[in-house]
Amino acid sequence: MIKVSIDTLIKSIVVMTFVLLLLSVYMVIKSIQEKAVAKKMKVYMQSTLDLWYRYLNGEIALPKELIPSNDIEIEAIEEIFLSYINNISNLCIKDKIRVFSNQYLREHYLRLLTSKKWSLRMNALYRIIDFEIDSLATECRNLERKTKLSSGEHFLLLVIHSMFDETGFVKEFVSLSSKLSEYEFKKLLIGFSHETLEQLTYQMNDLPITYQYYFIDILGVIRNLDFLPFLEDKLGDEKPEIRIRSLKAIHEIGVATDLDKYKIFLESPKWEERLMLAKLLGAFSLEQVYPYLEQLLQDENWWVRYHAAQTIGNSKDGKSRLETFITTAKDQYAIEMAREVLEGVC
Amino acid sequence: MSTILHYLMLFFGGFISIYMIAIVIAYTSMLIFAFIELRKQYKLDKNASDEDYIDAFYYKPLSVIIPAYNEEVGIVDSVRSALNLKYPQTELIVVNDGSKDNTQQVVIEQFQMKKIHKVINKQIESKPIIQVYQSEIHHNLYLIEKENGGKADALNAGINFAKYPYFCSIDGDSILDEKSLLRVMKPIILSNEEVIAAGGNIRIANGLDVQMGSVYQRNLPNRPLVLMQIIEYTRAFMMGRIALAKFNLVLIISGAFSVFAKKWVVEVGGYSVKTIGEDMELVVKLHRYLQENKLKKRIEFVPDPVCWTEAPESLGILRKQRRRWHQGLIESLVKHRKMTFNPKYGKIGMISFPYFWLVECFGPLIELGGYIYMVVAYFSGTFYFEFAILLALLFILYGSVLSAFSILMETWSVNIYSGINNFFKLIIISLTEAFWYRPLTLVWRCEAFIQELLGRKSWGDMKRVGLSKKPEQKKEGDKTK
Repeated sequence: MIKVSIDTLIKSIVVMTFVLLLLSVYMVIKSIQEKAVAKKMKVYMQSTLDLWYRYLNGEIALPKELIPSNDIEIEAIEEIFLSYINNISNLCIKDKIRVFSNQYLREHYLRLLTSKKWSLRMNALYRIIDFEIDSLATECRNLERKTKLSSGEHFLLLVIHSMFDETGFVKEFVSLSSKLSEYEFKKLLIGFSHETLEQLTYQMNDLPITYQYYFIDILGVIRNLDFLPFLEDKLGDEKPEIRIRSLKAIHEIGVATDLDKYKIFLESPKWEERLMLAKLLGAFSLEQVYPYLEQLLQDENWWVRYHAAQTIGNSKDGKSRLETFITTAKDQYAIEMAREVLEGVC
Repeated sequence: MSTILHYLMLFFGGFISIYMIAIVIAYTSMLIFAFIELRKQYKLDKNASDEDYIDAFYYKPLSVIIPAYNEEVGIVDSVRSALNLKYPQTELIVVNDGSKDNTQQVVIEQFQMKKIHKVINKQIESKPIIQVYQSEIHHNLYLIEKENGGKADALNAGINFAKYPYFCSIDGDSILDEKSLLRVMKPIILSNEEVIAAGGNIRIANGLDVQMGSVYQRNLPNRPLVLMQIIEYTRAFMMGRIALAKFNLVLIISGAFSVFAKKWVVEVGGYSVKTIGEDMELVVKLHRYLQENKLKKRIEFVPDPVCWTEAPESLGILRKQRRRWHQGLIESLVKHRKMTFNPKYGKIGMISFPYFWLVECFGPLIELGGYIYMVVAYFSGTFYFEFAILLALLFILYGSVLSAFSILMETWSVNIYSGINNFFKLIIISLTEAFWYRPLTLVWRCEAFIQELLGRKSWGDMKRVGLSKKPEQKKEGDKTK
């Protein structure tokens, strides 16, 4: 029995060592190949960088030398395009990249899209988004309908769909069966036009509840005053989370007009609502809201006190108000908080 | 008498061999699993996905806590590397845990720190805070001066001070890659907060060129002891963490670099100050809390993020470190022993705990027993000679061949220490593991049992030379945790 085991072990160690040796040789060859590819890319980039600059800036028509003839050149072009896209926000350059990619890189990415390797398909989807290759929209739509998709691919395909066909996407969006995370939802909707977002405000109640929360957050981030009435209307919603997020969104827009709409939150049993109110009151003049802020400064919740003090401190004349408060108040926690903010103001 | 001895030798020989065969099979399976996982991501453009996540709007703000005790040599580099982090919204909190050296002065002078008054929302118990400072150059950098209470206590003070919903703890002697935070937060954001903690991949920085908090050249050091630790870290990552994380079975995410959702950490009472391995203890507490409250949350291990840390360069310090780590492991397992084989704790109770007890905790005892048995058997006549050979081969297979395969996979996929020379250096050293390094670490880990039985709690000493090559920072410092 032991003999058999020893024989098996010796054999497996010999086999594994042999495999190790073979793989090491493979690693050496791979490393040499990678170095050679990197060198070729460098040479290509050095020789064409100036031409690319002139072409993308509209100084010259597309020279023949820039049309890629192999995968190494495509890889180098990707790098050049990405550095332009990530560092320069020039619409003309982006458009040139889009036109070029649609014409000369389309086939390459189409090949990658049908690859068996997940990583290569993902890379293709990233590039279709980066270079806005809309000529591949139909192929991407067909892929989207495939059942066997990873969540990463599925999400990127949704991004592509929303980029190239916003209206069609929104129509399907409300009945979307897949579950999106907060990040994914926001990433999809943040680039939408004003009209599309407005259309979604009418359909908001048809969305799953978590999507409603994210949607309200987006309205806060885009800071468009047109959505203020909609958000103020949501302050009367029966769901506390909707009310809290609406308060937050209004705070982020930075404009609030009718104080009476907000005063009710002063006595809210939810500390999150009182906290958001403490922040939002900064949109009014201190004269108008100081009594409310003073009440919030003495709130039982630490965060409410903290933000009430911050709001006072950030206002004009806030410093003197806090100084007076420190000398007259009795609540030691509130005094401590006021003192901290005061030091930050100094 | 000799018959009893004969049967005893047979029993132990059989037991150790079966254990070793099981371990080799388990680790080989995990290695194959890691290969499948890494193969999926092979050639994936990671930068493309990073750029995608960088927008502040999608990101959760995060507080970076750097606990420091006598870290005057490494602290400036650590803070600089934290300042270099590519992340939309962070605050950096250096917690000076009553250092006896110049840690505090160094930070104050280097970053022009000024005293501020700050009210702290005390959610977890920690030793009193003496003073808070804020940098005049980097307004998001704070220094907390507090009474000495140990690393766990310093982290708790940092959590109380932190204003953001997530915090990342990094050691005062670690350097982070600039994209590491982006990548470690990715699973948290994508999972819709289902992931409540994530640990990153830790690598050794000894001998690397570190300037202004960034790693420039990745040439490997020549010391076999350090090289062996590099192999050990790679091995732990390839043959364990990837597979365990996939099934939410991770019990250890390194304290040198990990991100936690503050809410849950506060819920379990923060770091435990009385244990040696506070990082493992926190993860176990979190798992326990999640299972007891039936919450569907996960703890992840992310293969990419790279945190560079300084490894011990002498046998004495390495011995203390390993002894301490193992003692921490024993403590946590004993403390939460009721989770073992308890179906109430799901996979953690039924798989993780038994695995950690048998392989991680008692494994060294059995393995060391194996080495001793091998020597005894070799000299005890021809009958046991075959057992000795069998065990020797198993040790070579387990200790050396599998380590070499881990290195191979690392070079193929992540390739942190690029270059063929580095690759061969690591492969050759890894083949020697079973002959010297493995037995040494086994002895040290077994010592932890004695320490634990005697109730001794050594926090270990670590002589730091600092990772930076700058001459003014080359002087020796020491660290006592």
